[in-house]
Amino acid sequence: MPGQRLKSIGVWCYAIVLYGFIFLPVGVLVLFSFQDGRLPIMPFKGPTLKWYEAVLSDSRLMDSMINSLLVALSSSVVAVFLGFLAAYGLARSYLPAKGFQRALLTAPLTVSYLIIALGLLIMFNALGVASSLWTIGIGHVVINTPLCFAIMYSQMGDHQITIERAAHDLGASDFQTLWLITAPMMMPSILASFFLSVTFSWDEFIIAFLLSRFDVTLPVEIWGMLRSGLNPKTNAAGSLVFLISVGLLILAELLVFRKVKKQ
Amino acid sequence: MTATVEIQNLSHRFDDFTALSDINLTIDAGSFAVLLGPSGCGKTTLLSVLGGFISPTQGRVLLNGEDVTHVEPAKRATTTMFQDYALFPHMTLLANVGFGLRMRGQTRRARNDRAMEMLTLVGLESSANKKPHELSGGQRQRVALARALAVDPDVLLLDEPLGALDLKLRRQMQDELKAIQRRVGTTFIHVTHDQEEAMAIANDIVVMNAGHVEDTGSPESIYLSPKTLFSATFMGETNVLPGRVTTINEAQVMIDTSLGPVSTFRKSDVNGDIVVGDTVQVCFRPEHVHINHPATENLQSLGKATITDHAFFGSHQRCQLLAADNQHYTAHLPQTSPVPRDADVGLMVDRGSIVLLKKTR
Repeated sequence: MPGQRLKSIGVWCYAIVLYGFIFLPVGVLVLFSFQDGRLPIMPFKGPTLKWYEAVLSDSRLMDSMINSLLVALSSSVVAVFLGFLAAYGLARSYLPAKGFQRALLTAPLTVSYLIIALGLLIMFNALGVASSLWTIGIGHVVINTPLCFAIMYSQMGDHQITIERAAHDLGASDFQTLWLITAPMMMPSILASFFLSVTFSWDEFIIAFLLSRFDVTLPVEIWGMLRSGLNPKTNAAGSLVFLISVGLLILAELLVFRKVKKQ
Repeated sequence: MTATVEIQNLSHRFDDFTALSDINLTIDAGSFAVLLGPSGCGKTTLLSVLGGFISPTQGRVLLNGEDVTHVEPAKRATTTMFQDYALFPHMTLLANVGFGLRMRGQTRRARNDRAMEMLTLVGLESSANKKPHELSGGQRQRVALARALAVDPDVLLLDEPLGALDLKLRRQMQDELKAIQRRVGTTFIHVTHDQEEAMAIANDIVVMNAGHVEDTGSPESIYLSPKTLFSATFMGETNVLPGRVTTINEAQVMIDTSLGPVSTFRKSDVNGDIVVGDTVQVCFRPEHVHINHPATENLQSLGKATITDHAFFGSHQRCQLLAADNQHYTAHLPQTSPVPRDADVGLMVDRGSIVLLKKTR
């Protein structure tokens, strides 16, 4: 019995350390966003909402947040669209060197964002394309398309082939089958890759930093704030970013995983 | 609607495997035909060719005399009921059944009315707004049938649709399929490897083996006078006794076998090509075997035999008999007849039910 007890204490300690390790940094960040003082350091004084007020009334910060949302949503729509068509094409048709093509499509997942950003930067310079939200968006499509492709390709099962056949058999054209049958059947993985893609784009820094100029995204703006030293306002901005990420997660849970469970 | 299906000189190869070789077949309009054969015999490939999912290497498929060999499934007057039902998981039953009509540009109201009518036909009208995952296997089956019939096809192709159901449900669905087929009058072509299922539902059975057609005909004719040994052994059980024809006269054929001389009635329609000296298989079904029966004109004696095994099957008793040639023969004896174990019995067979098959392959 004492052995059992010791074991359960051990398990509890392990769990506390593990969760602490993962969530303490975020906890500290959120906690000191309520700091009633000029520095986000111990001891905690407060709470106050004045830093949130400062964030929400900072037009540069708010603009960058809107930029981030714009880039995240639109680049994800494009990435999901491209990834879906690639997955469909690869899963359903006879293509030369299928395995190689699949590897080629997923290869960018293994390349560091820095390399991708540098490549894009050099290319845009050579083409004379000025850095803007568009270039950031293109960068995010580049990094998210392979991810979306990989998720959706893994979910294109053979059992769906008969279902698509049945649709053809009942008179549907290829496009009708894709739009009315395949896409709705794939909806859980389409949504999953969309939300994952939005989350990745939302807090992506390196590409956004290297490919932006006047209009910047939120991570770049926060980085700019950090250069002038630690400040509870930065914590408040970070907490908002975190809050929105959590919101996305909950939305994905409600929309995607509930659906999967039901089916 | 309904249509005659004609298959002419059809062959299909997958790389270097011949799945179908030179098939010629006519299936009458409004009949319930069953393609019967062991797995790998090409029956599903043939069905896919009929449905338009496979373009055959050679030959033609005619629907009501019109060549549809290379017409795509969407433009063909056939629909398929798939083995795993292939219902659209994200749609209600009503939308599933109405899908084909939606593709034909019918208004929502018209197609919903028709879909409801089809769901009523299969007894699922109260579940119209459910999704497929809320249904049992047998119910999904019915939805698949309703969906395939909703577009009023000329020919309905059924790809082993009852394979996944338990025995009781399968029997029930067989009866339902038959009743529905009679009601709608569409030509049904059903694929199965289960000979009992074939006999339960078919007007016409097409026995297939290794890519070619072995035998065609009504269940009775295939069972009682099979044209090949494969057909005889696949459609139910049969005893095979090899022999050589010694005499043929107007009424009888005499065969010399390992169990002595056997004489059968001559059936000119089926035995037309048998001549004296041919090596033949004398085939008789277990239920045509009798033991210790007083000799009559219609019984052929096969000498003495010993019962080595015996089991009670309810409607009959199944016995294994060891005959004088050291071979085992199967008999189905009446429920109540005495079965003397390990004693010599007289082995007899109904002369009229003997089938003579020329050894070909």
